Order: sequence, then C-alpha cells, then structure tokens
Amino acid sequence: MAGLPRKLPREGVIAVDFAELGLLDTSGAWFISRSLRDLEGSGREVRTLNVSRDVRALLDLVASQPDPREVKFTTPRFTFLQRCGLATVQIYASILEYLELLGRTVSRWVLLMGSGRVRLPQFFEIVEETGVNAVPIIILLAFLIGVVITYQGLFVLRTYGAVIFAANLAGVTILREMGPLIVAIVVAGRTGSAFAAQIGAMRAADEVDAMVSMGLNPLEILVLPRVFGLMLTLPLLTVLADMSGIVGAALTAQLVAGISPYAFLTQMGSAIGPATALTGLAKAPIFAVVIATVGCFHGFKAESSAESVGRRTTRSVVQGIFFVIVIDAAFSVAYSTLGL
Amino acid sequence: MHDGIDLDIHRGEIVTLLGGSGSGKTTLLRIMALLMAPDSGSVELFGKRVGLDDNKIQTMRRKMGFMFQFGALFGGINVRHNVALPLMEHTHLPRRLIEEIAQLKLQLTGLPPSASCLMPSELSGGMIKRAALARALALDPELLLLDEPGSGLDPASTRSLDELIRRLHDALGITVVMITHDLASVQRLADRAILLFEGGVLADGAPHELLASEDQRVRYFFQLELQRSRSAALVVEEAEI
Repeated sequence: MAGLPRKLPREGVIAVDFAELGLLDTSGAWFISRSLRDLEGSGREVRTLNVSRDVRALLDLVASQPDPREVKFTTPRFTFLQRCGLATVQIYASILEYLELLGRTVSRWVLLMGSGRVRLPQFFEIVEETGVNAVPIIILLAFLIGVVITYQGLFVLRTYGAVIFAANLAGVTILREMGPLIVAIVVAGRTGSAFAAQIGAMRAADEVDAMVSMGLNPLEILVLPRVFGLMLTLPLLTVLADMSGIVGAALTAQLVAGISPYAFLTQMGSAIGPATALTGLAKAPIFAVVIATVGCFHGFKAESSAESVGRRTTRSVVQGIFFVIVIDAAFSVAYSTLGL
Repeated sequence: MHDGIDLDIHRGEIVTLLGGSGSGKTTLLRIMALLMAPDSGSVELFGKRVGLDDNKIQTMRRKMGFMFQFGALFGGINVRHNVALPLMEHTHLPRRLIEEIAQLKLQLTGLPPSASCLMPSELSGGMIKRAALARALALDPELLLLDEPGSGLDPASTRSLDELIRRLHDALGITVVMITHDLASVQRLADRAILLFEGGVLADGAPHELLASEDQRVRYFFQLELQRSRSAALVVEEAEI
C-alpha cells in the first residue's frame, strides 16, 4: 500500500467509488483514510464518490484524528556500555537504600528496647510460619545431605582403609557448613520470598502508606517481628538440621560400611567438640537478619503492579541466597584467621 | 442474586444499567459478556442462545468488547500493545498497520499520544479508563459492554467519553450496554435506562420516562443521584471560575 501513489497515474483526478462498500469498521476506515492521505500528500486530487452517510461519519471520525503514524515509540534503547553503567548506578543506589533500611531497623530496635513494647502475636505468627512449618522440609533435606556426604566420604576413605574417619568428615561438614547453609538457603527460598511478596502486596495496595498516614511505623510493625522471628527460628532449625544430618550419616555408615552407630558417634565425639557446632550455629542469626531484611527491603521497593511484586519476590530470593553464601565465606575466612 | 430478570436489548441501542451498590449490575453485565454462567435461565446473543461451554463462544466473544471497571490492562506490556494484542491474535493484518490502528483507537478515546508507550502502571485513573475503552474497541465490536466508564473521571472527561461513545455508536451502529452512576451520562447518551433493585428490574424505559416515574423507589433513587450530580456540577463551575 505504501507504493500506491507510485503505481497510479500522476495526472488527472483520482476518483474512489464507495458504491459497492457494504460494511466498514474503523480498521478499514483507517486503511482507506491512510491511503487517501498518502495520495493527497503526493500532490494528487482525490475525489470520493457514493459515500453513504454511515461510511462518511466513520471516515470523518478517523480523519479528525492526527496521523497515528507520526506517533513514534520512544522506548529508550541503551548500548551495552550504557546498560553496564545504569546497572552499576542502580546497584550502588540499591545498596545504600538497603543499608538505610538496615540502619533504621536497628535504630528502631534500640529505641524500642527500653519501652518493652513487643508485638508478641505477630512474632509468634512469624515463628510458626517460618519455623514450625519449615520443619519437615529441613529434616528431610539435612538427612539427605548427611547421607550423601557420608556415602561419598566412605568411597574415598575405603581405599585407605580409614572408613571410620567418615565420622570426622560428616561431623565437621554438617555442623560447620552444610547444616547452617542448607537451612539458610531453604529459608531464603520459602520465607524471604514470602516476606517480599507480603510487603510488596501491601505496598501495591497502598497499605504501607495507610500505616504511615495513621502515624504507625511500618518498620516496627512489619520488619521487626519478621527479623526477630527469623532470628529465633533459624538457629533452632539449624540445630534440627544438624541432628537430622548426623542421623543420616550414621545410618549410611551402618548400611554401607557396617560401622555401628555407637562406634560412629564415639569417633565423631572424639574428633569434634561443642565448638564445632557453635561455630556453625553462630552464623544462623546473622543469616536470619540478612534474609529477613533483604526480603522486607524488596517488598518495600515494589511498585503498584502485580508484575513488580513478582519481580521483587524473585530478586529477594536470589539476593538472599547470594548474601548468605558471601557471608558464609566471610565466616570461613574469619574462623581460620582466629584459628577456630 | 437476580430473580426473574427478562431483558431484550435490541441492535443499535444504547442501554444504561442503573442501580445502587450491590444491586447486581456488574454480575448482570458479566453474564451478558459470557464471563459467568447464570445459575438458571439462559443468555441469547446476536439472536443465538449460548452457554459457556458452547464452541461458538469464541466467535461471539470476538464480536464483543468488554471494558472492565478498573481497566484490567495487562501490566507487562505497554498501552499501545494492550490495544494491539487482540488485533494481533485475531487478524492477519501487517504488524505496522496494527500498530497504527491501535494508536488511532487510543487517540479516539482522547489519550495523549505520549501516553501510548507508557506501561499501565504509569497511567492515571482517567488514562486507564481511556486505554481500557480503546482496548474494548480494538476489534470493532458489535456489542460494547462498559462497566462504569465514567467513574473516577472528572465531569468534562466523562462528557468527552460519552461523546466518543455516541459517535462510534452512530458511525458503526454498535450496541452499547453500560453501567453508570452518572445521570448526566444517562440523559446525554441512553436510549433506554434499566434500574435494578433487589435482584429485579424496577424500571425500564427511556431516561425521561424513568425520571417522570410515579414509583416511590425510582423517585428516591433519582433524587439521590441528582443531588450528587448537582454537587459535582457545582464543583466544576467553581473550578471554571
């Protein structure tokens, strides 16, 4: 159709006959109107014949509008370098905002410490949702991790005739690393995302602003119970994961290498002390603070659309797990420096 | 919710559904739009009786445009693509032409050109209404169902939206069924007004007939609505001064 002006003769008047036209919709009207505009634009004289009243009304309606072709999309397109720059600036701003939330939360906490105002119902709700309800999945996963670690260890140790040292391997790995880590990752997945979605949905429905307008502090009502709840449940879940992992390890040693659970646990007790368990457990509250605040942070950053809430939820999980692993690495370095 | 409603809507009519909150206007409209099945009774559209499990239902839906009260624009795509989507799915027109048609429809509803590449979450309430109407009009429906097109708009915008509906109706012969609370809209636009009350039809007729009704409940309803629109008109006059 774009070539129409070229195909038609340059001279004379072009007459368009509408006599045979039965039915016309706005899409068709635009198509005709567009062609007529093009023809007139190329300097020809166009006449329309036998236009019925209805068709005339429709053509006039369409013709009364400015040319839609002139409205160009202004979606910004960025080069690779611009994208990198944009992402860097955004990450920097995001880190600052996160630190602000963390700081405000802690200062609110300090302020409240003297007042004795504790939101126990919310707190216990969070404990039940994030702790009690997570027990089955944590037990199952930790058990399987214990099984896998011992099974792999036994394979290697068997060539040296040192199968009993699988107890040392399993003890250290589960208590120091895998127990706290697996709990933190599962909780980041199921609880961090839930926090982001809950607060994000409230944000989308202006509920957070409603709280502020009533003179309530969203940090105090939404963030603190979640942080405290998770700080209690994450260490408890870690203890559970440690026990379940060791049960899995002992069972595997019995079934695969014929080591009795008594011998296995005695060997483990002689190799590691309470310090090993405590170095693992010490990480849990830190993980809890990070997971809870990252989840809440993304919830607060959500905009007023379901899509944005969804995106923020995903990000809260990814960043929660990312930070958990980074902090775990930092702990490893710190422990080895301190000689623990 | 409804009881014994028997309505015939004729081709080319502009019908307004009136009624207090909870009188079942939206439900009735959703039943007409084949989004809900009535618990009992039947719906006939374009002269044919249809149920929700009918396989002709898709062709019927293509002849209908439904504008939701809160827009129901797809949040993941921009405004112009919202309007273009039904055209892309249901027609074989070239993509460029579809974009032009979508843009034209947005302009017809009075949306500023700069708004067509925004995301729905970036629009104001009035702009959402216009974009939603443009999407309902995308396939040039024979039957246009509007759920409170004027709510949340200032009286001047309601008036221009009404004019657009009237012009499209005149040019395309669309049948329009709309829910509204705005008596000014009813008087400007409607060939026929239906007042729902407690699950039934309380009054049905030309707007001036309803306004002149002797029935106490009808009079009461219109008095309340009139008071409301008068106070709204007062606000506009003050704003214009």
